[in-house]
Amino acid sequence: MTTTLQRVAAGDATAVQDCIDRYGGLVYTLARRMCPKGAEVDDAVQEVFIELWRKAERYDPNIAEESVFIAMIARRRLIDLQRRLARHAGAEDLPESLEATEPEPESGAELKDSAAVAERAFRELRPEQQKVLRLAVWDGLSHQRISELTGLPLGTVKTHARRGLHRLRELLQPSSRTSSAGGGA
Amino acid sequence: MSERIHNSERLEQLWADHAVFGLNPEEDREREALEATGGNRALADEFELAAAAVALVQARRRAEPLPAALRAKLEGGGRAWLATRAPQAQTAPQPRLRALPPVAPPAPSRSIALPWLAAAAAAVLAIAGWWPRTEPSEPSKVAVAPQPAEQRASLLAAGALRVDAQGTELAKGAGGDVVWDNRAQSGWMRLTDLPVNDPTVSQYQLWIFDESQEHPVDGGVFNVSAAGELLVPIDAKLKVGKPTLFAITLEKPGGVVVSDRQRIAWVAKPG
Repeated sequence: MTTTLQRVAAGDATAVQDCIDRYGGLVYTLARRMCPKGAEVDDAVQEVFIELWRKAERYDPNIAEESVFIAMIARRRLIDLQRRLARHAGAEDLPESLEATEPEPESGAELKDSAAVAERAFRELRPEQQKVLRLAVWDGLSHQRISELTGLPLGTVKTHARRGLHRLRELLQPSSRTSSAGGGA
Repeated sequence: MSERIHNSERLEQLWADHAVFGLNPEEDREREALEATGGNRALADEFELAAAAVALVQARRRAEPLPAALRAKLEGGGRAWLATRAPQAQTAPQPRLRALPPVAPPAPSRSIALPWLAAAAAAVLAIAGWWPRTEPSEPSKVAVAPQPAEQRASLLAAGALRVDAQGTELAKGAGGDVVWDNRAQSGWMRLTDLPVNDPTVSQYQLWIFDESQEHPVDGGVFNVSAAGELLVPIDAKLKVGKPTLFAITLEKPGGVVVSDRQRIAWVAKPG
């Protein structure tokens, strides 16, 4: 089956529209979260999509889910933007995911799109791995700050992050994707 | 043997840190040094994908709808991209995700590039300073002809910037020009008589100085495999606002994070 990005790479005008429809909200949400102070969210989102059009031909569905690939391109671009401008000052002070305010994940029955693979994989991580990765990737906290907030030693924070990534990459492999749903970390 | 294992474990930790926390300049240099000794680079890409999956999951749980005005801008941008897009097969095949280069870390801002613009304006052949890049470029976009000529011509017809270029002491007699379309964020280098490089020893790397950015933008790594005239697509890694200088350096295979001042091969300075 041809993916949206493969159709974009082929110059299909409807695919460009589909890509915006399907992933515009994702990129916008990431940009709202990761944009540094002084950067325009709209400009950042447009930069990400320009990058997506240009990189579409590099997407290989055998290696990653389309939504994960798009999140990676968006994250790269937004990290570049962070480097160009001052880092978002508030993010380090107000981690939204440290406490029990984490939004409820959708139920299994609702997990239909390609992002569901990532959701299922993330749920299979150990709770401490989930927490460290969430604080680092979503809240943008350094390992030192995570250590302070959680009381975990610095080395343990890094170990949770590395092992969590390892487990995720295993679960995101094509062979794991097809079996999925279930199994503990 | 134990040192090898230690290096391998250390490199893996650095890749994980890079994907999740970002590396400081010292760690980044350590990563580069260890990568030069080997290691499975695919793992670095997979860590980055895994970190992106975390971001995806979190964003999905807090999804915000795309504002209508922004949607309209994106649709306009998409149409513009399609309009300027080359017919198929104008460039050499791009590597797929398996060969994705690692992204630069969200490291503390580096101030080492400050001298660049001033130095470039003063004397393009005596540029001083360091050239950080946003991400190591993928290797080897070898120029192909003739289709690129048509795309270059269409950019020119659409009013793209054209700047004459000249070789330095490193590439005496080389010339050509740069065609750059800011709206499409794309362009071509026309290289004449740039010396053939051995990609196992060194590769050419383009840098774009931008008035609006502190650091030069990485324009891609490429090879010159034959004498004469070649067209090479420009692959700017960041959005370019107003280019003030295009410069090609000769670097180690795969490109570099910083460049020394001695290896500038070709420059094109807008008037």
